[in-house]
Amino acid sequence: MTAVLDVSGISKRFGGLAAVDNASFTVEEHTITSLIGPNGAGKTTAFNIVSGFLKPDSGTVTFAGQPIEGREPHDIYRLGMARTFQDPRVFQEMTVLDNVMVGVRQKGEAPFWAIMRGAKVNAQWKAARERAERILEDVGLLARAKEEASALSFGEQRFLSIARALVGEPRIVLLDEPTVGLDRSTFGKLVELMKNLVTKERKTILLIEHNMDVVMSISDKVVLMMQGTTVASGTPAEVRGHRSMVEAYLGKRHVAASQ
Amino acid sequence: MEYLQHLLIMVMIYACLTVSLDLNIGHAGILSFGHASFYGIGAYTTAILTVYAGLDWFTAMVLAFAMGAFIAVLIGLPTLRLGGDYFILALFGFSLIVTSLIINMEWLTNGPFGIRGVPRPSIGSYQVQSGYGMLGFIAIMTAFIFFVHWRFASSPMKAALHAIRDDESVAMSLGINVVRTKIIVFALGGGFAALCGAMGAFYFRFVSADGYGLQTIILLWAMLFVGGNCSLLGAFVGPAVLMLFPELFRFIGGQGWDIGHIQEALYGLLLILLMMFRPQGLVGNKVGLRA
Amino acid sequence: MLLLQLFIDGLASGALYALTAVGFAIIYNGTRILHMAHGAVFTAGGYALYIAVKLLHLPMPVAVIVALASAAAFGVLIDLLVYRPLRARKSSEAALFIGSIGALTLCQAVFALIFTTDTLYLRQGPLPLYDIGEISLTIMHIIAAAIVIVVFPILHLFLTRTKYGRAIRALADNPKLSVVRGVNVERLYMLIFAIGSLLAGFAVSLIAYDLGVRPEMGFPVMFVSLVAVIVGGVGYLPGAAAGAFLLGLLQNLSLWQLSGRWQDVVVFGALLIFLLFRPAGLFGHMLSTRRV
Ligand SMILES: Nc1ncnc2c1ncn2[C@@H]1O[C@H](COP(=O)(O)OP(=O)(O)OP(=O)(O)O)[C@@H](O)[C@H]1O
Ligand SMILES: [Mg+2]
Repeated sequence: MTAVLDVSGISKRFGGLAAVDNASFTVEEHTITSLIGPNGAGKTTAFNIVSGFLKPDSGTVTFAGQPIEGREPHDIYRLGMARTFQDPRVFQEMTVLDNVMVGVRQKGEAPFWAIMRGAKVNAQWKAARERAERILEDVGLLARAKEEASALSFGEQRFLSIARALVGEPRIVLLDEPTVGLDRSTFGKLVELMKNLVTKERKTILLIEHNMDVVMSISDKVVLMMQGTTVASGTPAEVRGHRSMVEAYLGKRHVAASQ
Repeated sequence: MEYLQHLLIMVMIYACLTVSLDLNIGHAGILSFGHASFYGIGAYTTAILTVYAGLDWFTAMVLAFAMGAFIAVLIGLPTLRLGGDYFILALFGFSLIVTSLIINMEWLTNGPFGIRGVPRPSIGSYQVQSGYGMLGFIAIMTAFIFFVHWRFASSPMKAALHAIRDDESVAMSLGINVVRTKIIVFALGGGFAALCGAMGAFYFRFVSADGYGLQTIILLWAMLFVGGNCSLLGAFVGPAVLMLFPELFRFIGGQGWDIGHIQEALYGLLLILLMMFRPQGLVGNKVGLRA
Repeated sequence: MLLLQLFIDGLASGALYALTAVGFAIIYNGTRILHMAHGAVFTAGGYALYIAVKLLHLPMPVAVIVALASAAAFGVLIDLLVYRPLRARKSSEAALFIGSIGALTLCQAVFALIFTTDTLYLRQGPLPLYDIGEISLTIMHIIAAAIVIVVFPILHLFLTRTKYGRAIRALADNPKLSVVRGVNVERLYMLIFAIGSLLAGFAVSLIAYDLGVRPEMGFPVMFVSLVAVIVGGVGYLPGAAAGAFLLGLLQNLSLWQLSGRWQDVVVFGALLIFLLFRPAGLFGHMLSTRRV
């Protein structure tokens, strides 16, 4: 397996706080890699660096063989990396379908081609709509394609945000705590969706996830972050047994339980 | 009859200004306070190029568009990336500078006296002369400008603009070059406002320094918000309603009244009340000024 | 010598700008409203002074107190009638800003309808000059200096030592709060608008007495104040004051080489240059514009 994403020694300070401190990990193609760690460990900040929203103070990020640290988010998307945010952040006043279609970059967006149209522009636009509909079907929202996104429940908005990130056919998607706030049935659907993305669609997923059951059952690889640093990485079984893991999760839970 | 012609022409010119302002404010969320300045830049470019440089009307009009777009890029490049309140303020300052330059650069603009004798458009040997001819010319230009904006609003461009308006970070995360798109849209807004300036110059055959300042900005904003964001129909309804208002006064016999200031008071009140009770305007879509 | 005289004049107008600018900044920092109607508050104070002096024939000190109170009340009124209903609807910042523009336009037009667009004078003739060496001062220079020397330290004490002052500062650090240090934010807003408008009242009392009152007199002053806030750095009150003095000096010193009609270009040229090269202002404070 080749590493499609190689994060090496990245650091980011906010004022006096080292949010990410010399963190390194790799993500292999066609796998699910989970980034875990306690609240404030720096997981989201690491995502922001990888996806171009923050420039790292130091370190490198290599995606598909190219250095991408410090490049603009829209460039990185075009290289084949999409992300979601911790909140769904769907476009509330657009329809569900339009929300997804925002993720497709096409010629017709340029003012000149918006005016002139032409067969190629129209064909691209039609293809975009079809792809958006297919993806909405995958996430179970096709029936609601014409509704305003604000009419969706929180869980449905979460699925919509994932569909939006997938419509551009990225090689890798970064999902920031996608299961938070989902009820039991939708939760199962999401886990199923992620598995299918990797096995059927041959995508790669980098996941931030707090639910250990999900992490341990679907991850090919787990990376543990604490206080900005990656302290352990390996198969779920390896990381589960790591002593930092006890400190990060079980330790706290034990303390909490005994109080 | 002549008066009705005048009214129709004015409504059309303002409708074109409103629809191009809507492209900036309604669709892209760029709160442009420079729109009246671009209108003035277009009018003066047309007047200077035809009267002083002797260019034909069509070339002058095209160059007016280019000038509006070019200056919009110039001012947009450093300010659009700052965003929010900084941008509003910078554009406010820009509009005051433009007014001041028009008055003070006498060698170019003839200062407070304005420039007279802008030629009427001509096609082949046909010279637009009569009021009807002018009405036709303005109507054709309006149809063209509305067609272009309809194309924008019914293409994938609209989704990208609305994404930027609603959440710039998400737009970026989906591969949209936010800064570049905003500059392009701002340039288009400036270009089309300048085109409206050219239309006005051809119609009045005369340009002068007043008419492109703060009062015009407020009028344009009021027209946009009365009609409503992201709506071609709204871009007509707003100007029509606000242009007919002074006529109403004439009709009910308010001759001795200070109509100018009553109008201004009304625009101010309208802006407040619209924001409170109907931010989408009379016929606008629900989109636009989100909570 | 001319340059020194222009420098002194610049300091005096800087002092007046500083009062409006700091008033604007207090409101902006606490509420994040780009309070364009500050210009209308300013003008309202001017007309209040005119009414008190010319129509009610009150003695000057009383008239000034009436003007100050009117400005403060007018500011609070705009908050109550325009901004509070919009906040209650959870309106966007853009909608609040448009409401503010609307309020400014409405007030200016109503002033013009009531008082006409003519300048109303509170006094006649030139002010007596006090010559000191080669420069000459008017009573206005002296009062402007005195107000700044008295008002700003009091404001500083208020903001740092009192419960409400500290609450205002806490709100400026985190405008999303709904209760600050046990004070309801809506109440705090009223106080913020009262103080910010009061400061404008000081400035307008001087200007109205010196130069008279016109419906649109508040606009340029409000606008220079806004620029001062940007130049001085958003979120930092001494910065706004420093920016105001800088602009006052710039405006007056530019008269040395340029005629007065270029003043707008000078002020806004300065703004554009700052936005271009140092958007965080003199002291490096800036609102974050990109949220991830
Ligand atoms: N823009 C910022 N400015 C200042 N501090 C920040 C910023 N973003 C994050 N931080 C801080 O950096 C640290 C890491 O935050 P981050 O959001 O990366 O953690 P996380 O691992 O995603 O936590 P969670 O599980 O709660 O989402 C936190 O202490 C946070 O407060
Ligand atoms: Mg996080």
